[in-house]
Order: sequence, then structure tokens, then C-alpha cells
Amino acid sequence: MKSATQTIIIKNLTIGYGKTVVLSDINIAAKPGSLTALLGANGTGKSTLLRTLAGLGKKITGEMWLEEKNLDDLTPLEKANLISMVLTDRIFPGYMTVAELVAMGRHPYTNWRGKLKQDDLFATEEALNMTGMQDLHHKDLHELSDGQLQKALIARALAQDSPVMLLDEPLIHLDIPSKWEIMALLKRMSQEKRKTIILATHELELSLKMADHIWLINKQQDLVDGTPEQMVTNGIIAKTFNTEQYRFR
Amino acid sequence: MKSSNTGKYLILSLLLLVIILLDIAIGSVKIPLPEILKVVTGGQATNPGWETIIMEFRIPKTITALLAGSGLAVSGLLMQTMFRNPLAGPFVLGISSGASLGVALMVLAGALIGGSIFQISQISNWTLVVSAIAGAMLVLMLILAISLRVRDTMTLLIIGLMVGSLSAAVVSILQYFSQAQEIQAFLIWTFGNLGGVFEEELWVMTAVVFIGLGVSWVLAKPLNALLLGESYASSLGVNVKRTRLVIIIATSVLAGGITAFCGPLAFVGIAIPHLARILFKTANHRILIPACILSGAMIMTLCDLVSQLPGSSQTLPINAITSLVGAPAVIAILIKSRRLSNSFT
Repeated sequence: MKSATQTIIIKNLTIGYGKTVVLSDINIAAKPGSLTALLGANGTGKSTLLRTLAGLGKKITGEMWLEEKNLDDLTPLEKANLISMVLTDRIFPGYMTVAELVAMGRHPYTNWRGKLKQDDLFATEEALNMTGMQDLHHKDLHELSDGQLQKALIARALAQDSPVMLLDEPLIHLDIPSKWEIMALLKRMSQEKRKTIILATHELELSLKMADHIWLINKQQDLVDGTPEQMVTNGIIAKTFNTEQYRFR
Repeated sequence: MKSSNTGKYLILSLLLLVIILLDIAIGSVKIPLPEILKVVTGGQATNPGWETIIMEFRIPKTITALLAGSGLAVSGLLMQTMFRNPLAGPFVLGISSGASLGVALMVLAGALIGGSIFQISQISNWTLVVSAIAGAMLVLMLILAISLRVRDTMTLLIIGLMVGSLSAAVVSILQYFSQAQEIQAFLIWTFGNLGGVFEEELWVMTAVVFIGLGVSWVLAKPLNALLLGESYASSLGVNVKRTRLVIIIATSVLAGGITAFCGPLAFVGIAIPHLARILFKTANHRILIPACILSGAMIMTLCDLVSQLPGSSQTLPINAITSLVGAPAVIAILIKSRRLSNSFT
């Protein structure tokens, strides 16, 4: 499991708030070109895990390795080169167009004035194209639907051009077609761009159908992983969600 | 996009230039326009008295208005972005209350304790400036110390308001025990005054404002990232804690310095950033900072112009004018554009 082909390697990681432990002794890994769904009930620590991985929250103990670099040794800027994020934080900066938002992803690469160079513009355009947002690039953010805004945020993360992308509940508040669309987009990005994508979600059915990998926080607060097939056949899904149904809240 | 911004900057600059000239031209003493142009361009006026009035009173006053307007507008912009709150202004951190406290202690308590040591008439401008700076610095140190401990900016905002409330309480206790004469001296300071900054003071104020504006300009890129919230900014490689500290320092230098020299000038700091956003239809600080500098300088000079009541020899307090002129204008713009609420969560 700990071979060099993994993008993310987590060893004996314990996370939480302050001294309150949420998840302990996590040992897990993810490889490039894979889409991983992080499942678990509310309050089990999905967001905390993603935020800790991204360096937005402090870990309690353990090690996190990204592309063979220890996360503890990286500066915020070096981390920004490796990890991009889509968060649940509401953003409404007013008077900001889709293109401007997506170009924000180039922040780690621009000079002190934030001037966009040729490759920054190219990356922005590519991200807009890949997410199908090119026709909406001049729209103000508040003119977008929830699904379009989510795609714009994903485009911003894509423009950041990092090997790892972490998404916290990107499917929440969306209608069913939009959920499928976003999932398909993430799948395509993981395959075409060889990205390691991890999304925290409550969408069990969608995750089982589309994700390459499932990370599941079970009732014992253990993080278990496997392919969707493994997770269903070994009964972990049924046991965790206490139901034969796929949907849960 | 780019060319239309240049056009807007150009129009603002031209308007500013006209207002500056009018501000210098109009005052209690009538001076013919050609004479003014002569003096401004470095020539000699026919009446040496006019030259003195223009060079030693009107031009310093106009420069003070330009500095105060642009500095307060930019510090208001920084605070609104940092707190993601449209009601934030340069004084949300309690800086003007701190300066008021310093001045109140000097004017009111100084007279109370010292009795005959301080005669009101003897309190010089420098004494006021130094006590205002000391008060503002005191509050600033407190806020900085707190900001290092508190992670959440909203908590910081509330603490700033509380600190302001605290110093206001101390000021009113001081007022309660003071003589009418001292209270009046203090009140006059709170009215704001653009006409009391000369020579060395003006140089110091110019330096302070330019340093503050320079730091703000360097902050433009992290400020843009902060538009997405602190978590996104952090994920983009911004050192949020350090940036927040530098924003607080820049604001304090600007707002504290200007308050020290001109008194607590209300309104401009909150309103101008909204005006700039609506004019330029952007949230990008690289465009908004120059826009705030231009429109802040323009509005403050315009207010100074109006406060001189053209055609009379009376001058109204500048604080009353900034609100009288500014408030209806901003209300009108906001009603017309109805977009302010979209600028914030």
C-alpha cells in the first residue's frame, strides 16, 4: 500500500478539534487518477479529515505524505501547489465574474501583484472549457444557479493545477441531474488529468456507481477503505447505514 | 474591461483636479481666479497677502483633505474585505475611540488633574496629535494582542466594537466631571478639522498616509484571495494570520494617523469603498485601491469645499458636511443599484 505510486499516504493519523479526538489511527492511501468518495454520517469527521489534509486544521498526531513530501515540512504556498479545495464556505464577493473566480486558482503562481501571465490565462481557459463553463465566463457569480456555481468553484480548483483535489460536500443543495453532472465531471478530471480526487459526500448510491474508491467512516469511528464492489459485498455498507436502501441523510 | 477602467480613472482624476482648484479658489477671502492660477503655478500674486493665504492656508488644507479622504477610503476597504462586512469601516477596531480617549484624557482629565497646568488655550495642536496617536496606539496594541489569540475575524469585529464602547464610556465619565469650557474644546476636536495641519505636521501626515497606502497596495493580492473567505485564501497559499496582522497595522496607521491630525472624520471610510465597487463593478483590489484613493480624495475635498459655505465667511464642521453631502448621495446610489447586498454573504 505504501508504494511510491500513491499520491497521498496517511500514517497513524489522529485528527480532531483541539484535544477532542474525532478520528484516530487512520492509515490510508490514494493513488493518482482515482476518484475517492469519503462517506460517513454527519459529525463523523469527513470535513475535519479533508481540512487537516489541506493544512486548514491542525492534526493531533501522525504523518501525512503528499507526492513523497511530508506535509509538515511544506509552506502554505508549497501546499497550495499540491492541493486545491472546494469548500462548503459561502462565497459571494460581489462583482466577481466566473472567469475572475477561476483565475483566482492561479494565485499560487502569480507574482506579488497577482498579474496573470500567458500560462495562467491558458490554465483558466482550459478549466473553464473542461467544466463546460466557457459560455458563462463573463457572468457575475450571483447570476449563477447552485449547480453552475459549484462547477465554477470546481473550475477554480482545477485551474490551481494541483495533483490532489479535495471537495467538501460538492453535491449538497443540488438537484439530481446536477449531482450526476458534477460526479461525471470529477470522474473525467481524475482520469484525463490523472488527479487524485477525494470528495466528502452523503450520496451513497452515486458514490458506489461512480467512485473508484470508497473511504467509509463506520459506526466504530474507523476509516475503512475499498472499492465500491468490495464495500457492498463484504456488507460494510449495509452494516454502517443499517439499511438495505442506498439513500440516507 | 481594461480600457473602460482607464476611462473611469481619467474621469475621476479630471473631476478631482477641478474640485481641487475650486477648493483652493473658494474661501472667506475673495481672490480672483487668474491670481490663484498664477500662485498655484509658481508665479507671484499682485497682492502678497493672497499668496500667503493660498500657500500657507488653502493649499495645506486641500492637501490634508486629499490625504484624509484617500487614506480613510482605503482603510475602510481593507476592513470591509477582512471582516466580509459592508458595515465595517476604518474605525470598527475602535481606533477612533482610542484616539478620542487620548484626546479626552489630555483635554478633560488633564485640566481636571493639573488644574492650572493646562489652560485650554495652551493646548497646542501637537499636544492633541500626540495624545490622539497615543490613544489610537493603545487600542491598536490591544487589538493586535487579541488578534493573535483569536482565530475568528467576527470575534475580532465584536471585540473592536466593545473596545470602542469601553473608551466611549471612559470619555463620557470624563465629560461628566469636566467644565463646560473643556467639554467644548473636546467637542470641537470631535467635529473634525482639515484646516489645522501645517508644515511639519503636514509632512508627517503625508508620510503616514503614503506608508499606509503603499502597504495596502502590496496587500492587494492576498486581499483578493480573502474575498473567497479565510479557508480558501489559506488553501491558495496565503498566510492568513500574517496577512490579517498586516491589514490591521495598515488600517491603524491610516485611520489612527488621520484621526490624530484631523479628528474622527466620519462616514467617508465606510461609504467610499461601496461607491468605488459600484463605479468600477469589480471586487478586484488592484482596481479598487486606486479607485478608493481617487474617489476618497475627491469626496473629502468636495466636502471641504461645501463646508466653507461658498459666498460666506462661515465654515461648518467638516464632520457634519461629510455626512450631509455623503449620506444622501450614497443612499441614492445604493437604491439605484440595489446591489450592495450581493457584495457580501
